[in-house]
Amino acid sequence: MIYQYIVLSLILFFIGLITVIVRRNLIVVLMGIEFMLNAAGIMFVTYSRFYNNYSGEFITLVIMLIAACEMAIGLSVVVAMFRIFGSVKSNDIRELRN
Amino acid sequence: MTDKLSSLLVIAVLLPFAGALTNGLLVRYMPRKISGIIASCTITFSFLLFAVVYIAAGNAIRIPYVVQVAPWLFLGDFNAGISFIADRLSLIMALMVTGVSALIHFYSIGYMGGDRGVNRYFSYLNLFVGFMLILVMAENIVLMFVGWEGVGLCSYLLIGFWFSEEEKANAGRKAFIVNRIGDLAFIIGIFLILGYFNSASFISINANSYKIPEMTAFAVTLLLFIGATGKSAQIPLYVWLPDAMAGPTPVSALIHAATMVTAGVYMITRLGSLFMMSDMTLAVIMLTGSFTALFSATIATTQNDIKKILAYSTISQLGFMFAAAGAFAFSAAMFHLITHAFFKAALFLLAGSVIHALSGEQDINRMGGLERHLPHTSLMFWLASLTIAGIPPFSAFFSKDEILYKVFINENPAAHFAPKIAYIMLLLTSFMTAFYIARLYFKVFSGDYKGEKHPHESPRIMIVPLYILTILFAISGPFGMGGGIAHIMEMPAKIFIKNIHLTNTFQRILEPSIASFGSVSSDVSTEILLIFVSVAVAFAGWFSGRYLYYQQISPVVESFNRKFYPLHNLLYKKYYIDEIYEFLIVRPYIYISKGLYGLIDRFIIEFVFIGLLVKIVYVTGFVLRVFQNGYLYKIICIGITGLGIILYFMVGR
Repeated sequence: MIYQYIVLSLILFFIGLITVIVRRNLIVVLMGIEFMLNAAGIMFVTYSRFYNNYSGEFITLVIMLIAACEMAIGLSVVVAMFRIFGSVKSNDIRELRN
Repeated sequence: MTDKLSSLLVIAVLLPFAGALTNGLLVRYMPRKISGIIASCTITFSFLLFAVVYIAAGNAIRIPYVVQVAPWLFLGDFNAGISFIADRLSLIMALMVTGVSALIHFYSIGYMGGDRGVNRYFSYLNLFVGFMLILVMAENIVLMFVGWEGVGLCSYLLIGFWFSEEEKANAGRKAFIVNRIGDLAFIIGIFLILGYFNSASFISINANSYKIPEMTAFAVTLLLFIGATGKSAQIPLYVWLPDAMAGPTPVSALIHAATMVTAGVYMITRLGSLFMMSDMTLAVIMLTGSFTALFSATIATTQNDIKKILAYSTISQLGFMFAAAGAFAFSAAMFHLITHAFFKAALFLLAGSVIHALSGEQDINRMGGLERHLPHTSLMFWLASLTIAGIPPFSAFFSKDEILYKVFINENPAAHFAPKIAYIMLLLTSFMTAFYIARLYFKVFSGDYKGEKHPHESPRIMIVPLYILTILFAISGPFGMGGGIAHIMEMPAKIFIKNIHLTNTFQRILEPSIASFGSVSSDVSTEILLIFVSVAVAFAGWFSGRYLYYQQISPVVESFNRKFYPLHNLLYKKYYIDEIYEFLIVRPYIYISKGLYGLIDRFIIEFVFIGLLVKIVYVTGFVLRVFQNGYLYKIICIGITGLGIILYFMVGR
């Protein structure tokens, strides 16, 4: 049943989005981004099974690859930020405003 | 003229500037007394250098010699350099300026010695002489304008020298602003000249002046003359000069009697050939000059401030010079300029000596009887008064008589009546002059002393320059004697020396460097008659003044003043000219300015343009500020919203 898979994907996506918006901890924000990416991956796999077109599954693999890279860079950025600002809360890091 | 002489000339012009710089910048680190000595010495050296150049150059300066100092303005194919003209006219003028200035500088050491700002004073005074020399020596009209403005600036600085008193500071401002009006006309005249001649050099302007059309000549010369009325205090722009008496008295003597105010006459003489092209302007100049002379002489008869009387007298004598210039008698104008510089500087310095003696008193009603207290001053004042009254054998008799004669025989094709009217006005002025100066002299020096303070004679440093000036104005007359006087003088002289022929030395010297018609023929008998008329008028004026004011309080004067109260009051209030100007020009100007300030500045510029711009920026910033807040979650929310909108338009419909 394709319907449940789409709902699962959407639920995952919005959990990720709300996490990104609501949470201040940058590591959790990165987790939220990961949620959204995986929601997109589920959506791709679902539709590729539905249309019998395997390029969607292939794209999912690419997304996972990119997600790994992105996570590595993102975490290193967070570590660097922690070194500079002494915090990983996004509210503490507002150089533009001041 | 050799290179050596040219460099001496340049040094002579630059010396006063060096003195001004030294006094202005360095003297505050030295004892205060030294500033007067530095200033006086620079001017004296400058005078000596001019004298050396004049004597050494000899006949070489019969034709103008141009000393190129530095290139200055290049505008297309037109250029005006910093270059000086050395001919007899400019050198004689420079000699007069530096000579009188040197004497006044020495006098100032005594007069201003106790003042706190004495180095500032001498710095300004030196700067003034420097600019005056630039004005006199300038070879082109643009450089002359630099000197013209420079002396105006120094005049402003020195009138307002005691700027802590508002009245004096205002007098300085008035002088500056009134001069601006004349200068505007002058600068337009300069532009017209540059446009028509494509050259600023006096030599080429005078040489090519016959080429320009009549109406252009009229416009140009009239504009230049309006500039001259500002600087030389003629109607209608004379109002600043009486107020300029707020400055220290030596300043009044130097700037507002001897040198700066004669700049207009010098300028007209310098551009003689150009002024010759317009008979109409000459008529205007002659009538303005003679009317100014009469007008201010009448005011001078009723004033009570010793310096004000001399100020109106200066305006009146300048009127004489302009009348002569208008009658195309430039040599007579220049001669009167020089004798006037001597005797009027002396009169002002003597007035300064009186004021000094009475510790600042200027009202002649509170003087009197000073003859006994100030023997030197009163003697010289007597001689100077006789001189300005036009009584022979002093200098003003010769110079004034020459002017009267030249105006009388002048024929102006544009206005036939002008010379006759001018002559009558000038003759009346001669009478008035003798009268008011006799009134001044007898009110101050005869009778009983009416003040409280004990008068004391001035120190020697003030008296000696005065004696030099006295000698100058007493004996300089015969150098410029007119034909009629020469004729009279020849008769007794023939007893001793056969074949004697007396001539107008001054005119002969000046002849090569000024424009002249050639001589207008007139028989000597007319001239001799005119001489007797003018001498009779001078004596009549002097003795009527003596008769009325010798007794100090004369019943005749009292009853006259009562009977003709409106007339006396009109003269005493100076024809209400200041009030009329105030009402006609100053008030409307202030109202218009205030209106324009409200409309243009406050409303259009500040409210509409600037205000609107500020509002736009503020509102834009207010809106955009929401997006640039620095909170990650808000930025993401905005991004999501934007994405949602894009998706709605791409997919949703």
